[in-house]
Amino acid sequence: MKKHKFIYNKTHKFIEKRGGDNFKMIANTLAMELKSFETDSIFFQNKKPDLRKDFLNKFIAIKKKEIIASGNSIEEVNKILESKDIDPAKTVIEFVPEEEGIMVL
Amino acid sequence: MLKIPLFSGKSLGFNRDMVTFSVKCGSLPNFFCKGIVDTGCPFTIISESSIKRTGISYCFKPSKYNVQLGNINMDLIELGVCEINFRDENGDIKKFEQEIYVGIPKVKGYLAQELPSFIGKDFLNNHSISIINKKEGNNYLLVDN
Repeated sequence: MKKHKFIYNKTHKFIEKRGGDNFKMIANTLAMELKSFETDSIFFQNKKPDLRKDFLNKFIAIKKKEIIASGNSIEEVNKILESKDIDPAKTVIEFVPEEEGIMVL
Repeated sequence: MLKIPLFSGKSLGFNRDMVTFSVKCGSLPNFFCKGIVDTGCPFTIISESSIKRTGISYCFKPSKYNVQLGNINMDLIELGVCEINFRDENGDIKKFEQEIYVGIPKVKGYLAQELPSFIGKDFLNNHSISIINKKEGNNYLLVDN
């Protein structure tokens, strides 16, 4: 986690120094963050059955394929993440439900 | 033409075509979402659980539509025209502008906690985007430039 924060801060300092190519650099950072978000979302889908053992009916936060926070509400998880200096808006936060019925859309 | 890869994710009990994207409302910072691409949904909807991860206040806004998702009654609150960013097959960011709604379930409970976000038909129509289904999987959105 510390390493991740270090890279993030370093990237942003680099952007500040550059000037002209900032937009491309920001877009690249966004693309990387989105890919990471997707990977964590897929991780949650695949691990959901296992997660029910420890986190049934709770909200969990996932970053880099690790459970980094859990709680009874999103607000509770948000607070834990903010205390760790992690942005909840860019973190996978999911509810761990019991086995779901199929909903036809 | 560019391709936005979809992934298969289980939501509301079944595997659906899903995509991750970032949303930027006005001058507020980006937030990330995961949504079902649903041609049967007339609106692009961000789930209440997604919006709760952000500092965006939405409760004071009036409901514009009342919709039914399965047996769940939802109010749609207008968030306005937002910037949506997707990651294309080359890893580049593709930006769109789209009217977005927040879906607030009227019933509280466990099912309401799991309601996903939706990329709706309005978005697909506005930007001439098609869903391409491949037998071997790896479905994608095809954007007509």
